[in-house]
Amino acid sequence: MKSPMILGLVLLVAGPATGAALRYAEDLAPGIVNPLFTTSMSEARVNELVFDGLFTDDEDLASTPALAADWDLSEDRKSMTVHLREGVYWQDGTALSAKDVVFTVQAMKDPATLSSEAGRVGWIKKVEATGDLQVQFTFEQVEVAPQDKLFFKILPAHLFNGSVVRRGDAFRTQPIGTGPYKLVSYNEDNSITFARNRDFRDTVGVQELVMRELSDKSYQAKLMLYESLEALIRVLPRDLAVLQNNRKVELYPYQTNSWWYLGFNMARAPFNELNIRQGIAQMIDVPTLLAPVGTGELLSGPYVKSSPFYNHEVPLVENDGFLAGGSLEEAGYRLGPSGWENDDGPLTLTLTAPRMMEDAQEIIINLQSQLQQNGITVAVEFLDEAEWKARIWRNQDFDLLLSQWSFDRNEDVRDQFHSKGARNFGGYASETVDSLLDRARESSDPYEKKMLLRESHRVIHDDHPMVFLWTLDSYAAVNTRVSHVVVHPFYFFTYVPTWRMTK
Amino acid sequence: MLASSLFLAGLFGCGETKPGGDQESPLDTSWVGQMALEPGSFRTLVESDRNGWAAYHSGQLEKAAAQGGDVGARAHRDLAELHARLGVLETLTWTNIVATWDARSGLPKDSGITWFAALAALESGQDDQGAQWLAMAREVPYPPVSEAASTLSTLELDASHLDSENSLLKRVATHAAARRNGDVSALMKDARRPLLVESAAGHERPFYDPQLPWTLAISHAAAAGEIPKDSLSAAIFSGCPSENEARSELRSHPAGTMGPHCASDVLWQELGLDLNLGDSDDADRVRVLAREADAVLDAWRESLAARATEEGRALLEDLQLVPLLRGRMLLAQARRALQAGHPRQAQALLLLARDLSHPRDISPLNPPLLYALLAETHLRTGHTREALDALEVLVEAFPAVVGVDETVGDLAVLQGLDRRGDSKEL
Repeated sequence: MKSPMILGLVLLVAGPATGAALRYAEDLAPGIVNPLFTTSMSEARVNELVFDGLFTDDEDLASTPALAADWDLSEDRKSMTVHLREGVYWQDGTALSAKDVVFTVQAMKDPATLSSEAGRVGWIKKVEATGDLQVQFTFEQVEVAPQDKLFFKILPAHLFNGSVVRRGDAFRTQPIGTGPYKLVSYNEDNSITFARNRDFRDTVGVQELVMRELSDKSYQAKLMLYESLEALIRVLPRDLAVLQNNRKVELYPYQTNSWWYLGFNMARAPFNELNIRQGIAQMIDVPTLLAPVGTGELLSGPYVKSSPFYNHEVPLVENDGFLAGGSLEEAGYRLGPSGWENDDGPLTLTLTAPRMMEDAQEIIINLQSQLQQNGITVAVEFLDEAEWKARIWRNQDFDLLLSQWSFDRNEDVRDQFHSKGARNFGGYASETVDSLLDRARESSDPYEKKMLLRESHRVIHDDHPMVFLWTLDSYAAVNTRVSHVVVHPFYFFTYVPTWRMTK
Repeated sequence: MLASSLFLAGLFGCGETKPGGDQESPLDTSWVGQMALEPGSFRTLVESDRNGWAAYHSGQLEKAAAQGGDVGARAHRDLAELHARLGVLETLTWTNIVATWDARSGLPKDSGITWFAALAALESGQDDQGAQWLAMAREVPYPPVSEAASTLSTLELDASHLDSENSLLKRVATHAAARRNGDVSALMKDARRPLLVESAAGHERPFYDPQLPWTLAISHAAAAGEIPKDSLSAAIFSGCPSENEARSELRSHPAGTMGPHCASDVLWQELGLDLNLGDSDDADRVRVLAREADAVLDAWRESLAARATEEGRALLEDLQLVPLLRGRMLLAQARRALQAGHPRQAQALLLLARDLSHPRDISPLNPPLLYALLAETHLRTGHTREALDALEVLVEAFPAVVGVDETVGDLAVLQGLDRRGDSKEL
């Protein structure tokens, strides 16, 4: 928590509301502004400000054209022609064309791009420009409603060479999109300023947005109460009551279907052994870890409890030292005077967490203590955003990590648990789960899909690739001077053009 | 909470102090004002049935209903409305399932889906739609469904079908009997299980009983009986600030129907609140209304506390009476917005009414109906997945919600079949 002196200083710097800028807080600033490499929610939210897709969700969550003006689906439903909206310009003044759409799909599909979003275009067999503003998509198989999958953001082809996009391209800090806002500056105080895109296809109500990176949630809440911020993206449960009782703040719930977890690196011994993972899971007192965060729901698998895919017959992992010991003994470990060991030495692990993750430090320290009391030697490390992406995402260099996944309303965990999943950095591989997830994706019967994914919950739970922790409710806090607020349940800023703010 | 206040009521019982202060408000005549300024009336009321009123205050409606008397009557009315709204939700869901599936790929030929949709439609008075789906169900190559659909023309099946070998007809007849004799025990025994598990290619389709909420609504409405005679018991813990309006409300709207619930109570009007919802479904408009109400209630709360007896002040704080009245008032406005066909306004009001210190619980400030209406507004605004969050709160307490929850879940999955999910870290 910041001291009163620091708070006063910040208030002086941030000042009360002065004009048309809507200031919002993120726990973590986006590490990159390029939709092809988006891995975090804060990046996804910035994408929503700067870029546009062919289609988007309307307020009733039905697909509606964005950059698309119209589309024709072929009779055999294996191809589709999309007609682009006329008069759309990139924020550098270049006109949008069909080449941009073709480039984006090809760049995402190009293995050399290493896009974390490649899975979103895997169903597209071929894409070609059939006119300046006309694109033809050919699908791998029959598609009933392909517009539902064409939500990915479109990039400007003229700012790249070839079909390979590099993570390190200058575009990452100088993005040009067709969205409602243009990124105009990175500021010295870790904030980012976005100015209204006057050429956007609809009227944009708020003139300027300023994103401030503030990892301390209590501090965020204070600034909100002092009106030094107009919006908080996500309020912790413990701060809800005080913000709800403030008459200048409105709370908007939204659904990110997010859950916290501890993930094992299954490519690394001894965490490739089920008994080791199970034993460690049984050592963890999850409610005690949750206590400092506030109220939440404990989970037994990779879906939140209200999900149609949550398998309520699967119990929570029992926190039991005796059972944990049995599991480790099964794995060939014995309890010596200084803890669990085998012939190769003591059982040790390093706990890794993102530095910017709210409450991660307290959780990690508590967890370290719990595991050490159970006889495991534990080191801890906190990684900043760049280290996290390099160590965890690219090099899979960790033992056990603490993090959080957020899902849109489809709750598709394929990327996390399929052996070919783009976000499966724990190296989990199960033929059974692969088959269940593949069949669920192909299914056209909701009852079958529900049954398959409930079964995947059971199998994943039994395999312990992760210790599933809890889910928290998501609430945004917005000053009452901001009106017409509608929050997208996942991307948050989808409807921001309609927001209005009075001085 | 109420239990401790009852204890306090006993402690302060003999030593009431005179109310002080002169900032009177029209709301002083409300049930909250009565409790704060004349707590003796509350003491008398709760002494008639401590457990019942404590359960009613905390949202344990089944327990309160079982107590009988005035509190039982109030709880039965609340339960009737709760289940009636869940019935509406069931019908909305089935209508969406059939429409979405049919538009997407055509309904599966081998499924009894239309039987369940037909029952849901008939329950909500959509006779033409129900008849159309029954006709489709007659063509299903699955004898239990086709036979049942061929036999059924009205939900008023006579007792002879209670022994039918066709489980679907037998269930319809069981509902008809329960509505006549008020005995729902046979239905509740199976409430958490599907009525039919249909075999499809390589998987099963479990279907739950869409009539259950409707029958429960009818049986609770019948059990509600007489309007409470005691003045405070008619209005306490309700959205009707004034007793007269509460009694009028109870008289003019049969249990299970969605009346205005004092949304336009004369007291709100006297306080200058603009209760006009407008012609469009503008959520900001009702947010302004909520802020106006907050300003009025905040000032009154302070003034009332200053003028209340010591015992009255304890009741105000312990039972969170003003926040409770605020929440119920917003809930009443939400009902009115739904009736006006303004689901976004209703949703905004319900979210403002919800007490976020217990966002996933039934509690004194978060009654069961709040979650049922919230689920309905989510469904009506296309946010099917979010309706499940609200229903999850009810599933534990009300077995009949299991089927509604599963059916809404089926719709959520159906609506996402063509989507490619997205996920991100943190």
